[in-house]
Amino acid sequence: MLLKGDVTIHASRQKVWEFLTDMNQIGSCAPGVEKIETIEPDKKYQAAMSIGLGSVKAKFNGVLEILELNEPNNAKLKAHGTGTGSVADVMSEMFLSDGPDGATNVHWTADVKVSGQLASLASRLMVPVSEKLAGVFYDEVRQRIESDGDTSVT
Amino acid sequence: MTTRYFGKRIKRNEDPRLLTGRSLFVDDVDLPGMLHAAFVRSPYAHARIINIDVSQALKREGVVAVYIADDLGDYWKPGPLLVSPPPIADTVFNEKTQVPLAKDKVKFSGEPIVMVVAESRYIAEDALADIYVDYEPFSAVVDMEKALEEDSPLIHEDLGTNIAARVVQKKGDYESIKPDAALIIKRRFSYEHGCAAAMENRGVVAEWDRRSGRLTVWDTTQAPVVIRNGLADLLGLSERQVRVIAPFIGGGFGPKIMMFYQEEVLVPWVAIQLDRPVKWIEDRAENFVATTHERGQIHDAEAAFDKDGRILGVHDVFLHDTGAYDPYGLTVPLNSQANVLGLYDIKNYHSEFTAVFTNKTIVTPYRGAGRQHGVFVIERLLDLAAKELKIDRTEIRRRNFIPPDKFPYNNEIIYQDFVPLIYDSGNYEPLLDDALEKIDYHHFIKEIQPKLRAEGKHVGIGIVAYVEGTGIGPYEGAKVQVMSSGRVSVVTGVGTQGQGHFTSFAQIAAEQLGVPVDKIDVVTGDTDQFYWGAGTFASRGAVVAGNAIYEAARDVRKKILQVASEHFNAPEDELELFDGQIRVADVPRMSISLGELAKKANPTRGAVKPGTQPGLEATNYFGPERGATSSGIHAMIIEVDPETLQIHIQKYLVVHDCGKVINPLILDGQIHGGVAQGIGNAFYERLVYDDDGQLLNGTFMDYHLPSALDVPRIETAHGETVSPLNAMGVKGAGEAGAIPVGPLFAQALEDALHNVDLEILEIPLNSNRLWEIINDANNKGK
Repeated sequence: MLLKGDVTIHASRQKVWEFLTDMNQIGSCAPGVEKIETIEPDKKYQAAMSIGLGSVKAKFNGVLEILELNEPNNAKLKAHGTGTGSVADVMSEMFLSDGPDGATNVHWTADVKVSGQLASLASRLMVPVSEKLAGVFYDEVRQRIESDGDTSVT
Repeated sequence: MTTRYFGKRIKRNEDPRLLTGRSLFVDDVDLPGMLHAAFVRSPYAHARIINIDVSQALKREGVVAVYIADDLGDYWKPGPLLVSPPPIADTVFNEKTQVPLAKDKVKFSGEPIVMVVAESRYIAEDALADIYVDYEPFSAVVDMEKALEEDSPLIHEDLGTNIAARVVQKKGDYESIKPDAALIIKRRFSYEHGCAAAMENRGVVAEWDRRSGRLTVWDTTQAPVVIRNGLADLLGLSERQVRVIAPFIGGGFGPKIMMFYQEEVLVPWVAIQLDRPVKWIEDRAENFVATTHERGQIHDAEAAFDKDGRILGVHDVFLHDTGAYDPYGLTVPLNSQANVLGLYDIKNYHSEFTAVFTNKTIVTPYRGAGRQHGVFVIERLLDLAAKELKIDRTEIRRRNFIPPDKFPYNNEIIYQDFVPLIYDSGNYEPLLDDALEKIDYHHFIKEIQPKLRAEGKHVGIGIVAYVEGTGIGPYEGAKVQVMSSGRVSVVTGVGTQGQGHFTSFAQIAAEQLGVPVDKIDVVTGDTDQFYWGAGTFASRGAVVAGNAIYEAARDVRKKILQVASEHFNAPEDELELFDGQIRVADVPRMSISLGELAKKANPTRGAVKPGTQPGLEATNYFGPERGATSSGIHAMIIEVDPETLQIHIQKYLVVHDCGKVINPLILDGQIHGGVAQGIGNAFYERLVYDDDGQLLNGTFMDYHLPSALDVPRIETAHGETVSPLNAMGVKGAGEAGAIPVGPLFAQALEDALHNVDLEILEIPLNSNRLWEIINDANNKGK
């Protein structure tokens, strides 16, 4: 399942970059994330999250690994989580570029592979639910950055 | 006047018990101290196992044991090959049977890796989440054609190929007749995966009694005797130490045959190891991935016809998806190969298939067992030829039927039972005539259909034909015994999964002994009650076990006459059996109940003649030289909504010939159930895999079984071509309903959607897929 999207955030590149590469910030914006712990800063994190897919509630434990960090342009991360007889493998990238009026454009992609029971039980719901969660996540990110009061654009 | 029991529409003996919840199913077995098992299954279709960490699971309270492959010691080995490759020259067969727990590598999503045994199923399931398996995923082999490409990943590396088998069979010389053909039809046909979806999932309970040194296993198997023998062998026990009970089972349909499933061999072993009873009941999510599937073939087929539509020859090359392992040999593709010949006089036939390993659930027979695919190919070829040659589709079939004077008819190829495919008997034209009349075919196409079309309605008619190879060997046995109460016990080794054995088998004995059917107690599926047998599969229960019961009951009848003759001091030919009594025909007061006579046949004091065998009892066996071939016609009138492509079956008719009918009510039930599964297979059910080998629709929300609304009333009628291969003249009927429904749908839908230049070359369909096919056809026309 390949997901992608674009979001424009009214804040500087640097500010968006700092927010989106701060795992604790990401963790607090992502729906369903229950905890996020640093194993190695800017490299490796451990996370627990739960998501609801229709009648199925899945709990995943896993590791996030940052593969690339090119400040303030692009980043790439890999995640591997297990739970409920299933495995989720995610490869995600984001690309920042200058938007209109000093805003920042974020283009993101996520290649999500879910294997095992969850694929059999809820694959029909996977795309719409994932798209919805991604939407919720970036809305939250945008609002938090923009409501910081320190935005360079108003 | 003696009462007849054979051939009567008698209500089923077993139904009151089943309908009031008084019958035992495996999950009803509840033993003191019983433990419960659950399995970690691979989420990946193809991956290396790097590491398994079970330490957290072992710490969980209530967990008794956790096993990985290495913990099984010598017990870890590939399962038995259940059906050997056929004795056909130059056959390639690469044997790969499933292992109890995956070691090093997993080969399909759902393959068990770790077994957890705990005080309750809840604890066992929770413990699964404590276990961490580290995998290195590989590219999955999903598509059969890609699996055969040079650079494809290999599922079994040691083979150096993904080819599981290759078989070529020939009759006559297809190439030589090709130049004479007035028409050659060549198409690619595909048939996708489905599953049996029995109401009851699988289950195993095992109990080891160390004092008696006996193991008892309750198992949802169709072949308890074979499982008993195999478990004894695997566990190093003698057969007499193992008792396998296949109690009432909520549907078998093939996947519950003697598979020696991973769970089936592990649960008994663990029960002995832990010296405690162990239970495992499959849940539906497991059933979708862990119980065997069926279907999955691609046929490149062509047929040569003369100008009158007579088949000169058929050439078929096909791929068969066997899944990750091939424990059941080549039964399914051999059935497909045979069924392309159908009920037609085809003199030249070339058929070759390649069975392919893929990273999917294992494929083994499911009701029809490959016959569907073959029937689909030949019936579609005939439809396409009829259209080209402008011959009525029922007429082209009639012209090609094997004439009644040509039986026994030798097809000159080897069948799934490894003997030449010779049809014992058949008479096809009367079946077709009966079907045409009952569905009012000519009136419908000439008058009714044009009117409906004028009203803008899309109503089509379909009519297809098939044979069903049934009642194959090797043998079954039965013991018939008159009890001192006067009730009669009939015991046989086959298992029962809802076929009505408790009634049809009783009728066979009743006919011989003059005892009412409700006074006959049939026992099936308990290896302590009957030692020998093969199992319930290939529509063989009535034919093979039925005839064994017939033989044994006839022996008991002889014994009754002999003992009664001495008792009454009257000649045997003056005696008659009636309503549980034996009497001297003309002297009504000279009568004794069979129960009393049984007591007299078992004296407890005094001397008997040397050679006397006690009781009124006999055991006998029946093994046919080859299978009996049933046949039939299915016809249907279907309406299609041109906007939504939803379907409505207005009429469904089966005219069927399975020789002598034991119980028409049970036969109707078998046909109805088969048609329901056939409709599911044709229009609703399809297992969908993605490129990673993930099953995407493993729930009944997404895998659509036909509901009561989708299955119409089914009208049945019967021909009766008696089989010369057994004394009762019967043939099997278990799969008849399911076999030809795919090509019937294809033909009827094309007829309904006459305004589209449509060719349906694949099964299963559904409304959405039909919409896609129509769009493709319309786009091609532009």
